[in-house]
Amino acid sequence: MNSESGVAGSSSQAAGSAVKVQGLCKDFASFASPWDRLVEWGTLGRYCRHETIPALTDVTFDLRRGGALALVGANGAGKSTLLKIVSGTLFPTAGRVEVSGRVASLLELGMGFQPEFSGRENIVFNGRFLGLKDHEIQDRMADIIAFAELEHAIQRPLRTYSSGMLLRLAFAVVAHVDPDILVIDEALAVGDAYFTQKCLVRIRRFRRDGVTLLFASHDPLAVKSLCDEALLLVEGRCLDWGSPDSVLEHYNSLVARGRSSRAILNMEGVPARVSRRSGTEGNSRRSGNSRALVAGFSLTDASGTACRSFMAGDEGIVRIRALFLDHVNEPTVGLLIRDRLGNDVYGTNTWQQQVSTGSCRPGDLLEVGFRIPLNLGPGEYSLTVALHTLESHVHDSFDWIDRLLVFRILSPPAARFTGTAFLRPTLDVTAPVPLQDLQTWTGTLTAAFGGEPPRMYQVGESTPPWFFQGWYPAERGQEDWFAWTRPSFGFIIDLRGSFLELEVGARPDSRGDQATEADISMGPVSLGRFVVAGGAGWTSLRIPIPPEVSGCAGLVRVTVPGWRASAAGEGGDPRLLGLRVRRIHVT
Amino acid sequence: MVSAVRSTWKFLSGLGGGLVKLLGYRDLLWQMIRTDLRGRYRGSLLGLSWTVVHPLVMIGIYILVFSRLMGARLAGHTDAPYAFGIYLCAALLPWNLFTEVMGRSTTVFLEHANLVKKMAFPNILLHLYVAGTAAVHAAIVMCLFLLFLLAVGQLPPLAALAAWILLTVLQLVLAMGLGLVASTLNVFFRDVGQIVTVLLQVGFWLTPIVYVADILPSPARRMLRFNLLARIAQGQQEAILNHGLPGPGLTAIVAVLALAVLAAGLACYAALRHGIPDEL
Repeated sequence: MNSESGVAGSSSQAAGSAVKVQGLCKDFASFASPWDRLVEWGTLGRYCRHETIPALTDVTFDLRRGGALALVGANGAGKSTLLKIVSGTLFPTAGRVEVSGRVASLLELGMGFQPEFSGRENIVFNGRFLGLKDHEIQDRMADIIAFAELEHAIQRPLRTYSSGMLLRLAFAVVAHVDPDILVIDEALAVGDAYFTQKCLVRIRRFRRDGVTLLFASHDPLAVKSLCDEALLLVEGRCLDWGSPDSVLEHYNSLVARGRSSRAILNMEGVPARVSRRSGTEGNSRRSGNSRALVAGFSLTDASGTACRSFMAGDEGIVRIRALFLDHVNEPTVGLLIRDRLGNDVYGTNTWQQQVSTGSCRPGDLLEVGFRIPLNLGPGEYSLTVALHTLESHVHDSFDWIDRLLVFRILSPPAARFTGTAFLRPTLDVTAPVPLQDLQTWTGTLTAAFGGEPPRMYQVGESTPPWFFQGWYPAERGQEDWFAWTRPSFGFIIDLRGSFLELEVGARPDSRGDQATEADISMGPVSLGRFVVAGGAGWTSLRIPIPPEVSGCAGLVRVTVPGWRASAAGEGGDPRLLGLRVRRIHVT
Repeated sequence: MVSAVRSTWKFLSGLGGGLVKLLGYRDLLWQMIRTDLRGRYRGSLLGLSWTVVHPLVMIGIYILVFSRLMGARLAGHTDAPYAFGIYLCAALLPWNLFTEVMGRSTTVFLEHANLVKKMAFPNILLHLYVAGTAAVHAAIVMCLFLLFLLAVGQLPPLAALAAWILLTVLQLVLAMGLGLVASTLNVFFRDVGQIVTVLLQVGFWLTPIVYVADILPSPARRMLRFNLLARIAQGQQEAILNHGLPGPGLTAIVAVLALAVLAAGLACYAALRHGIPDEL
């Protein structure tokens, strides 16, 4: 697709490019003292008194609409700077950045929050910044608070929030602005595992919906599972751009070499622009200083037959032969099993197992066998082998072969399971018995819903947690009632009293003047049937509470036997068939 | 330097488009002003009522202390009991607006560094927000003052009132222009904030607001001609007290200078704005 005008932003709309970065450079000027700046500015720059610190040098990439690009690199490699420039909070020194679409970014922590204001006010404020209209913010408010799980703290000023809570709030806001492009800095690392997981699920949903993702992370799993491309930044330069697997391996091999990244830049004679690699997936990558080399390798089952497919719990044998080109005392031979997403599942080596490998001279061949019970979940795994010294390959890596081979684990048919670990639990189940003590009953309810069940529901209160699925409040501006959309609805109420009073009505516009019949029961005890006249009127019911259920909180269930979703007709609104309830009260 | 010139040119040539873009942020601007007004008295019992109580007490004290207790009299107005208080308020209320806008603008980038660094929006919005907030406050105070004038039967005619308001608006524009320069430079040289504070104090006494120009020795009085703020203050006093209109010459000079200063402020901001987030 050719853009004739070359107008930033609009031209790439149709071309399917969401973020286009060309020859981007960013320098920071550092003055030793404000006087230096005064001298430089005073002489109109004739006397240069600042030191230029390059943060990004000639970075070029193109992120297509709906794509996901991960920025990989060490701290200070320029990832955050790049994200800030794309977000529009920093300005490039040179180069072009074209962004088309609404950008929502989560940079570092907090995103311009106002510490003195409550969480709710900050949501409004930030929503405005992200370009939401007033009614859009109000419509999404409940969802945002629920997503952040901050119902209890939303009225408190933000300065009382923990960093985890701030992150939750920030992510929840960003997650509800319908961005075209989502920019996320390593912020997610701050949250607890539960919320991080929740965020990742949400980000996946964004991706499914076609949102473009630009993401900086140290977490290889997140990079591999979220992104379809990765870009390796080393000291502000783009060193590699390709599939997440190959870029992460490249990054790991840089770390493995144990040289400073500047040395690597010099050694590789960095091309300013690295062309896109294709099809490295499945290829292995080898690095190391070659003081020893992997000379042979085998994976067999317990009987010694070469094998690539095992039943979970089977034993596998890995044999690694190393040829030494240099004199090495106590070399370490190790292996690493990774799952399909690149997570390290298990790795060990002779050092960690405290097995002596002796002193090896040039020309020696050393063989190490690992007999491993493959207590792994079903799926594909890769094997990586390494020769180095001491505990891990970062010290002095001789030879490191990433993903040398792939093997498969099958689930035993008699005991299926999911996940990556084969844990072999034993299960016991007790037969269901009626609950004897009320303490457990009320305690469980209180813990689950955060408070004691109420004795009364009056419309206008926010009572939803105690209502069972399918209810909704009356439309705004209409009279106040709750309605249910299901053939049966329930609510939990404190039944200590003698009567349960209900004010119910039919949906006035639903079935004309036809009466609706409903059954009511409390727990196992049926209380009979009542009839609600059609039309807009209300029927007051006064139902005696039988002694066997009074004295505790209980579930009251109302069933409409005649309810049929199809009665609403083709494309009809099934909500019109429910009952409405105005007041529920135990007296 | 070349890049600064280029970025200035780009900014100024894009000013029209920029205005349209700013217009898209008017909801946010309004939100910021509202938030500020509510936030200032957060946690207090009276809340927003303080915005009225403060100026009420201030005007009350000026008029009581100067006109009643000190018995200050203005030449030519010896019979009017509140004349000095009115003289004082006519220029002091606008001056307070000027000071607030200048003072708060100067530190606005530092104060809101969090927003500037983390959210993408036209940063100049912050200046509009400062000016807007101060203008709302000033409007409340000035309305109270006018109510007082009405009560004592000295409300000036409409034309004089319009002149007073026009001069105050121009003074506000002047404050915004100066504030833009000061806030931008303050990011790079933190001394600017201190300098502005000092200059505002000196400026207050170089301008006949709490005193009458006549008490100055004549060379000093001649120097006042070159003080734009003194010219504005005298115009405001004249309008409220004597119901006299400022000459078209003075109005034109003030208007042209205010707009020129605003343009200079925009140019200064445009030249340096790309460096602002880097320094915060």
